[in-house]
Amino acid sequence: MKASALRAPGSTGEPLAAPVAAGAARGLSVERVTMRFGGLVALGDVSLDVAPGEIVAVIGPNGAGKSTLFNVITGIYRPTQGRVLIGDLDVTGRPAHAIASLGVARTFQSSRLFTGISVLDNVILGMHALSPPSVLQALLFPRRSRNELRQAAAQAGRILQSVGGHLYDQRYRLAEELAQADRRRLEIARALAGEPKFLLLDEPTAGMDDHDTDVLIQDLLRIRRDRPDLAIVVVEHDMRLVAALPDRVAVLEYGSKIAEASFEEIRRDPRVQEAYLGSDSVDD
Amino acid sequence: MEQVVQQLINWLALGAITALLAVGFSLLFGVLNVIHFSHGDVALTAPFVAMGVLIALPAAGFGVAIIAAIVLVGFMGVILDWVSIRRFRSAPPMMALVATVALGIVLRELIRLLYPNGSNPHSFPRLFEGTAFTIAGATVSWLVVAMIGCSVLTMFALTLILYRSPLGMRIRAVSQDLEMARLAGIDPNGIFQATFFIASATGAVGGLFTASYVGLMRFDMGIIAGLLGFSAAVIGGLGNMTGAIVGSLVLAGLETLAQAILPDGAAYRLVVAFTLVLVVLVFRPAGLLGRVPVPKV
Amino acid sequence: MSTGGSLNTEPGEGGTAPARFRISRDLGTVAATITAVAGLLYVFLVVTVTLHVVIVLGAMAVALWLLQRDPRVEASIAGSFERRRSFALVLGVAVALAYPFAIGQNTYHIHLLVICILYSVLTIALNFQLGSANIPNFATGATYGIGAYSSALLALNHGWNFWATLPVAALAATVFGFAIGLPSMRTRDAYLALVTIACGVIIHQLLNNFEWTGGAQGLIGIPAPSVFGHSFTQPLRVFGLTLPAQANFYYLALLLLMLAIVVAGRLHHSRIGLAWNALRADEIAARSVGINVVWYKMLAFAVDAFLAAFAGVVYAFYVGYIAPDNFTFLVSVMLMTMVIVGGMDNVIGVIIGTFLLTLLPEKLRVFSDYRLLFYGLVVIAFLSIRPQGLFPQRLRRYRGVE
Repeated sequence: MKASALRAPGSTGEPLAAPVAAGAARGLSVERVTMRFGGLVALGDVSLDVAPGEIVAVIGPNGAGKSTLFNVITGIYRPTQGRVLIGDLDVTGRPAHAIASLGVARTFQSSRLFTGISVLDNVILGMHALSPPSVLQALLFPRRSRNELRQAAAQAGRILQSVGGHLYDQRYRLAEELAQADRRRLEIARALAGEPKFLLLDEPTAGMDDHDTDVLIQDLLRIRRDRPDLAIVVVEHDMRLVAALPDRVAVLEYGSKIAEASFEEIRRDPRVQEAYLGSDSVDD
Repeated sequence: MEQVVQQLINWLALGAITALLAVGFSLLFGVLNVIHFSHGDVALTAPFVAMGVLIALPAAGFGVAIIAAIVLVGFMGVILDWVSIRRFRSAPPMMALVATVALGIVLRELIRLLYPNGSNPHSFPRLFEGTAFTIAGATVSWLVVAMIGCSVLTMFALTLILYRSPLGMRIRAVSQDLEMARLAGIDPNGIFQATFFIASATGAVGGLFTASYVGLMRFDMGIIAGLLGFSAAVIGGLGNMTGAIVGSLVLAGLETLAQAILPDGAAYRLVVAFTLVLVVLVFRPAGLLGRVPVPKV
Repeated sequence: MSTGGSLNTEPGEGGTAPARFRISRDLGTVAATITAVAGLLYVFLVVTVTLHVVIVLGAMAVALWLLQRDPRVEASIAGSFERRRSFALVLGVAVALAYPFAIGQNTYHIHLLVICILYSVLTIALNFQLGSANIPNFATGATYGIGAYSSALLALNHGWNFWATLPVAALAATVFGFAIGLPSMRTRDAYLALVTIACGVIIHQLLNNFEWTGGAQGLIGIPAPSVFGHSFTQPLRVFGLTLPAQANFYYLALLLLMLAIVVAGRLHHSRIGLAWNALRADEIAARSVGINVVWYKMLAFAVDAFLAAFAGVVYAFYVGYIAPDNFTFLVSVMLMTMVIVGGMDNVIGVIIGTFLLTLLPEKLRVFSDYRLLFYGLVVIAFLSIRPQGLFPQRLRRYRGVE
């Protein structure tokens, strides 16, 4: 993993849009969340606000609780304490599928694709969050159901064309046959298919080489242009991506948030440097 | 009073043989992460193996036949793993489950076809004769004493092996983290085979007592015995030895209670047992002593 | 060996001369395939000598091997069926309707076909869970039994006729199916399998113990159904030809099978079937794209129960006699074998697997004593060598995104 490199590349990318002023009413808020597993405190009193259109990076050494944070937000785990809000709605403890249909989409650190079905079908499944299918319609109005599926397929095709790489050409391959970088892209495409308001990316560059990472950065910039209201939270180790994209960076260490600021400030923060320098050996 | 004591003794006897089967399920699940559904069938081949040894070598005597059966069934577990179960270790859990259900059918059918006149029940001798003592008017046979005693001894021995021996340490290492154990130089296949041997041999003891307790052996006894053993392990919490013992006592207790209280209770024994399984699974999915595992994401 | 890998779908329809040639080639392919399957089944039904059975089996194996050696063959046959769907449908139904006439007066053969068809309905039902969603359900035998018993009891004790009992039996079994599915909120994998096993054993034991279900002896004298005054015990007269009384039930079962195929097809080709495939692959990922995993599992149980109940009703009225032992755990395992052998989540494959495994023990009478052993070994062999079955699931393809 290229975790230890905390140097920014030559440029920090294009000028970043100013964060929308505390639009908490429409944003995603994690309020003082604590998550314990037995005696282990995976997250301790962590808060994070994400406004629409914002890109926030969450960095930190492995085991710092970044994925746990995602799992709490998306309802895979129920936090021991604290709340998760979408807009003004308290979604703490709601089932994962309900949170997904409120517009929170995610990818996984170890990409979790639907194996045994095609790449295209994976993207179609991403649309469940948007509109669940009806059993009665499937049984009684098969033509309508088929049309719905066909339209979904066409839409999924367009989404595949919009992400980098050659996913569209591989749309009828089994998802498990894809190369590593394509799996990552497919997961993002699947997440986008549900037209989310919040997109959580868990180490999207894991397993990507430099070239793929550059393509991914371009993809994410384009996504941001196309969907100005979409907020993106990204857990990342690759500092090029962290330097290029986010409006804000939050740093987690041992389950606590130790800093939150712009990338430039974070880069100079001695606590952050220490957390990173001490982490070289712990990699999962 | 006499009735109550008698039922208590029945409860302990039933609990003892259920526990002998249940620990095997729990051990195999804990170490291999596989539900070995045919474990009950493996265990209940023991009475047939013992009688088969007697038929083949009448001079050997009953005691030798029993010991031989326990050892042979232990090896049978290892062979079954080698022939089929190991192929499903990394497969989806559903596949291992269906495959071992099928393996159970194969075992039952093999007994039926290979043992002389195997379709019919055969009588199985009592391992121990006579009455040991009477307590509050209830008689306790030597067989029941032996069942409870052997079960307790076996549990004790298993605990020693698992927690006090180098082999046990390696078994627990593999059970906790296969990759780490492999890196530490432990050959997981050897550990799997050892686990299969221990579980199957323990099950064989339970199988022999089961047949001896009811006085007969039938080729399809393994299915119900296995289901009850598995249920007990699940009620207690799979992968947890204490859980298996507790689960066996709870299950056996309820069965005994049903037989004593319900009119025609014997007929509803299984209904009561499996209703308990359903209730536990719905309200405490990880069993009485188990904890719900956090999904790895 | 997946057939999905090939990407050689030809472009859409056109009006040019080669296109016309392709239409006739498609029609020919469809007709030849249907005829071949029907012919093979006929030969398999009528052969009696063990050696001949083995030869027929060998021929089938060779045909299958040839078919799968090159995935393009199967893909092109499937393509022809896809393009000429209505023709295939009409021809298939016509062949199925005409089948009893070809068999003639041999009641045993018609009986075998009725059983094959009823089992096919059951395996299609089970396939929703085992194939589409990968939930092992060992209670299909029980839902089948609930269907059979509830209809038989209504007919015997309350004089209801066959048609009236159908919906009630289906409803009873569906409620039961939902009830088994309910614990899937909290349990998964082996635990859920144990729930289904427990439910299956409980139902079997209750049927065995209750007096009002006839105990171990079961229920006898279930009256045959009739339609427009024609009793199903009477021979069937069509176009001056007389078919044995079993043919009535053949057509009834066939109707049910068509219903099952339609239901299965509609669900498979909707986003519901896709959602089942998703939770088969990865439950956590399924939840995070908004799929209500519990609801979909319960739905799979309910659909299974609904269809299995229908099969149970027809079985009860066909045989006229039911006992608890018709609906055991082993019946469920046998149905699972058929699904696994035929092909997970492939309806045609499942039907072929069912016919094969139902007829085989009947044909190889030498082996009849080894029947269960055979099933057990076949399951283990398939799961370890070819877990996707004879006919694996086919990738869904969408018009407009080719």
